[in-house]
Amino acid sequence: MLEISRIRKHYDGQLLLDDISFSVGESETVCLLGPSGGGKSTLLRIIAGLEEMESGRVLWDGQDISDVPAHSRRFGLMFQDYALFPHMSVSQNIAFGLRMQNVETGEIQKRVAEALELVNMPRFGGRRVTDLSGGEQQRIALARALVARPRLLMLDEPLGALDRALREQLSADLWQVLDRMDIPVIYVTHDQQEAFAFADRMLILHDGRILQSGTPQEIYSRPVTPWLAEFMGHRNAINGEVVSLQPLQIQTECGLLECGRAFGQPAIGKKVTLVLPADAARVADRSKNLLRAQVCRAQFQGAGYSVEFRLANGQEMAFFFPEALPAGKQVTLSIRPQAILCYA
Amino acid sequence: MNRRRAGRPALWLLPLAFLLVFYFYPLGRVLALSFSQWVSKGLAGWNWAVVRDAVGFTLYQAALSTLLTVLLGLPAAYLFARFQFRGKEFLRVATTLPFILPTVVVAAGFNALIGPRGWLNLLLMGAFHLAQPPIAIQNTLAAILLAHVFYNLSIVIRTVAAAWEGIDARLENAARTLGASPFRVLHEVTLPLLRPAILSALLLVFLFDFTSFGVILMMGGPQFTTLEVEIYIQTMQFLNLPLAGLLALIQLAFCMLITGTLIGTGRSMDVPLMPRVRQENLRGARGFTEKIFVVGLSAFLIILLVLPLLALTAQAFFIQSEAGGWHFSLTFFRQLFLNPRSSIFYVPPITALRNSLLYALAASSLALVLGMLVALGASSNSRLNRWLDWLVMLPLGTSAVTFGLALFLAFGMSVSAPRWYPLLIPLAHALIALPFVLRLIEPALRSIPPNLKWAAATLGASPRRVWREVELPIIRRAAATAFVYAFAISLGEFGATSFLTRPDIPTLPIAVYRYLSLPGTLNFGQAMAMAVVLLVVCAASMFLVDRLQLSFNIKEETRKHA
Repeated sequence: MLEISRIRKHYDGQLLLDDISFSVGESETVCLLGPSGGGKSTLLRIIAGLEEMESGRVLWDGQDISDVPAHSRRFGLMFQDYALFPHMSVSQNIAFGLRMQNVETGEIQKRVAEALELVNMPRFGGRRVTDLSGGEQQRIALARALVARPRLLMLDEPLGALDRALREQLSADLWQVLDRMDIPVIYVTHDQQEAFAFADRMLILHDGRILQSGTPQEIYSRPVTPWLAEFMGHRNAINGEVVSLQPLQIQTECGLLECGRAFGQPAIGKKVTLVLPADAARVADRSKNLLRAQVCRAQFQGAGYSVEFRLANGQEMAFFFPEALPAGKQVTLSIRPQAILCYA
Repeated sequence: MNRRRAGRPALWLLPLAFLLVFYFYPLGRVLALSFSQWVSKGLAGWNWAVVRDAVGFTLYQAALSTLLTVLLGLPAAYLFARFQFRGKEFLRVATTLPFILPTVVVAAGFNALIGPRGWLNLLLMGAFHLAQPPIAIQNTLAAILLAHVFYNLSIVIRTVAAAWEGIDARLENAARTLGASPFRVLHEVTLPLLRPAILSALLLVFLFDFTSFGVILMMGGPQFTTLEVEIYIQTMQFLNLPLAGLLALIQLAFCMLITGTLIGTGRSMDVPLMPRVRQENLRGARGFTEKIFVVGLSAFLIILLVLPLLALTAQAFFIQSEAGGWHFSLTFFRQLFLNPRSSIFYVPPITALRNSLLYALAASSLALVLGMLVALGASSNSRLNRWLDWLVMLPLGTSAVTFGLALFLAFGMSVSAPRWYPLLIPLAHALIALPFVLRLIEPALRSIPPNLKWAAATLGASPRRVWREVELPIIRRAAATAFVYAFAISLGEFGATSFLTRPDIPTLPIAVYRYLSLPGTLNFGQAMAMAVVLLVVCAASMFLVDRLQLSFNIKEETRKHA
């Protein structure tokens, strides 16, 4: 299907995209995740043919389409701000792509009605787009992108402009619609929760490169760098020094921690960073991998508590517990060795 | 590879060729003429007294007019930006109208009010049984200043009121709660925030006063000659073309200096069309002082801005009978259709209306097409484009008379020229209107978020269809506004036209001027009637522009795309 090969692009003198390559398979949803301003939208525009690349190729079914103009690629692109045409009605917006394909009028009407049905807005056809709410605009933009039956659908932060409550509701609707479409999708977002929800496969774009590629589970549990671990929501990091390789043991200021596989090449005496996932701690139920800590406060989060601890060296960490722990209490935490991320 | 972002420089070719032939070549002729004189006669061969007097008086009257205009304009802007009062809508329209009124209409209006045959003099003569008109303001500096204030007050009001409206009233309130007196709020909060707007209004008004031609010619009389008037006199009466050329070059240098200052300091050359003030900053007048201020100032503005036009209209429709009474009559209008033997034209005066409308139609169409091409060509931000964009704005810094003289020298001097050179009139008008057209179309085109064009492209629209289906419909109203604006500019243009007109193909402003300068009740009445026609057409255009301004604007803000 879609294959991107070695794309490079500078922006304002800075290297924005450095040798980007990946492919998207038939009816696969690939989430492109990365911090804002990292070149994700630019990459989408390059794939769509709206922007030039300095080097690299875009291939479709093995054919190089780098020179095919945007309007002949039949790649749908939905913009973060939706880019609905303000001088056209809802129906006219949706019909635009069909008119460009010279579809006959009767057929256009039928497909516009179907599209409105698909996004649950059957009676909105005559409305002005400027009168729609953000969520309604989002759904119309989706209908407009889909009705032209693109070979590939690209969504640029489709939920980014909506407030949180609406985002959760529309996220479910969007997932249903995308699930019904049997086309490859590239979904761009800077929100990992969104990526987890939609992705068959995730690509992490950082510093112009693809840092890691894999299923959401793989990337969440084994992020390849401390930066990515933090980006995935792992906040607890502690420095230490390798004291044993078999088993891998790290001496930290707050105790000796054993961990599973490490990223990089650990060696005796090497400084490493440990990241402790929020769900990796229990109140002492083993005899090793212990951390002495004092409970600062427990924050209720619905399904459980995020409990903040102060460690012996004054550092703070938060772990997830099903029950609250009383503030001020001294506890001994034991950390699951296989869950610890060790970056050498 | 996709080249859409590279812009469309090829679109520049036509406007550029147009500018080259009808702007730079004629100006080059003026330069060459004066230069050859310089070479043959040296510095001594010029009548420097004429030059000195003209430059001196031009600067003097422009400075005085500007000062008066700003002094009156600032309180008026305050009135518009902060107060809600009865009759405001009417006053808004009244302050909008002068900007687009032809100079001849303004001159005719003041003539009808305070001229020797004006209502004021007639009234006083009737009341005190005088044989001579007691007020002799016509042909004085005061008349010139009055007309300039009338003319340019709207620029100050609109520019400053728009800025003042943009200042959140809460800022001023915050300063008050922090202990600042109203005077200190004005001095330390409001005026510093308004300074850019005031300065740009000041420069713009000075530019217009500096290049004023019709007003000086018609209201100042022979003893007051600015550079513009002197150029006209040297060309038309003394045929001293080298001196006219020299004066034109001096004029050009001054204008470029002022325009350059305006553009160089990043000040806007645009006058906001209509300030529509946000409601939350408005309030009714409170207390005695404020009520006096609001009522007094609005009454004064209405007298200044509306009375001349009313006087003009009344002069056109009322005729004095033998017995001395006044009665309603359409005589002057009927006379427009006749072509008496003694006529100064070879055609009935009403043909001037037809000529003017045809010229205006041609000129505004041309200006719109050129403006669209330039705006599209300039849609990418390359250095070349910025440079070209600046080039197109140059006509704004060229006075109408300089331009008229240049075209006259370049195309009007040969034996066969008189047959076709009236065709130059729409070309000249188009060039004069072009900067205004551009300033309306370019922002409209730039306000279209790139995402809209990209969305259309990914939906299968070729660049041509993107233009036709997305860009064009969105800028349609701006384009229509620009067209009407250009139309009104052409309709009232006097300075350049006065060099290019032919007696048998007069335009309406030329006809009004000619009739005004002739003695006799009938001529005066006909001048008034034609000025009324001009006034009506221009007011209608302004009304149309106002309606068009009510249009939507794209709400989506242009986001940064990284």
